[in-house]
Amino acid sequence: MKVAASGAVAVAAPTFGPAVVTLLGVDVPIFALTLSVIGLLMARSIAPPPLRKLNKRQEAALTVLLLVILFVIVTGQLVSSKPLGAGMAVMWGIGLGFSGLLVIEFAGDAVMGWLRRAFGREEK
Amino acid sequence: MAVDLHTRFPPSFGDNPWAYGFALFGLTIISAMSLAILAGILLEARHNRQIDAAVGNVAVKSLSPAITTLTLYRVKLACLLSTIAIGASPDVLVMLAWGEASDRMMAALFTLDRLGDGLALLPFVAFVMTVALSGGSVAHRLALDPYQVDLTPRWSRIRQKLQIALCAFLIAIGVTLYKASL
Repeated sequence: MKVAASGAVAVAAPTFGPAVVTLLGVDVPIFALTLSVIGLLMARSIAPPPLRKLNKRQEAALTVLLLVILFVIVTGQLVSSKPLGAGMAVMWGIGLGFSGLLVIEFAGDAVMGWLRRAFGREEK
Repeated sequence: MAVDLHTRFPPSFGDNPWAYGFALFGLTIISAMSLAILAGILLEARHNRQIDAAVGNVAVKSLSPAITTLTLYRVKLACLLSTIAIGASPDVLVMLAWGEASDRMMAALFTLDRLGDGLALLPFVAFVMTVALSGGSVAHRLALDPYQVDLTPRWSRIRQKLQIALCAFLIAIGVTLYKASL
């Protein structure tokens, strides 16, 4: 695996375009991120709709939220300390796409739990 | 013999990117299409049950718990598609994670793969039993009411399948290029 001058591991080294672009201090593996987005969109089109009915706008908002979570994971901000490779990024994309609303509800519950604990409110 | 998990491609591909890419494309498209059609069948069945319940369909109630030809068709198809999905999906995950995931994660994926290979037997046995038990009764019933099925390709019918095929193709090409460059 090639190592970039900054010390960060260079993910994806196809002969076209830069492998990693640094945006606001975050190393973004362009190639892996693109493939993971394709994986997420494919899984979103396959996955059965959630039991809670969503309209088109809510569906679009859900996809955007999942894309944000995917970006955070693929750039290595959440799960690993370095940007993911293409294979792992695609796996995350497909996984998030299939999980859909469940991931958002899980994340929402976790955030609400933190907020309740932070403000000292008992969970009912 | 210990297998080196840090090679570019799994050993069975002999370090050949073409073989890896072709297999990844094939397995991805097989898994994704199976899951898509399976989800469609299950959703359609649920939708039908909701409608039957809403209108109080007496014809369906009188048949219960007997199995109709429509249910039989869905059960057979769902069993076959489940066999494919359970057997092929873990292989896709192993191929994607190869050379990138930690040894611990690869061990978990190998276990999942082995479990999937074994568990694929269950829906397949269910399919075989359904075929054996229903015998020629379905073919006989369908032959009584010949119906010309419209097979004209329409964009609305094949759009989702083409999207899946395109996504699988792009993923296979992209991941193969990435792994070949390591």
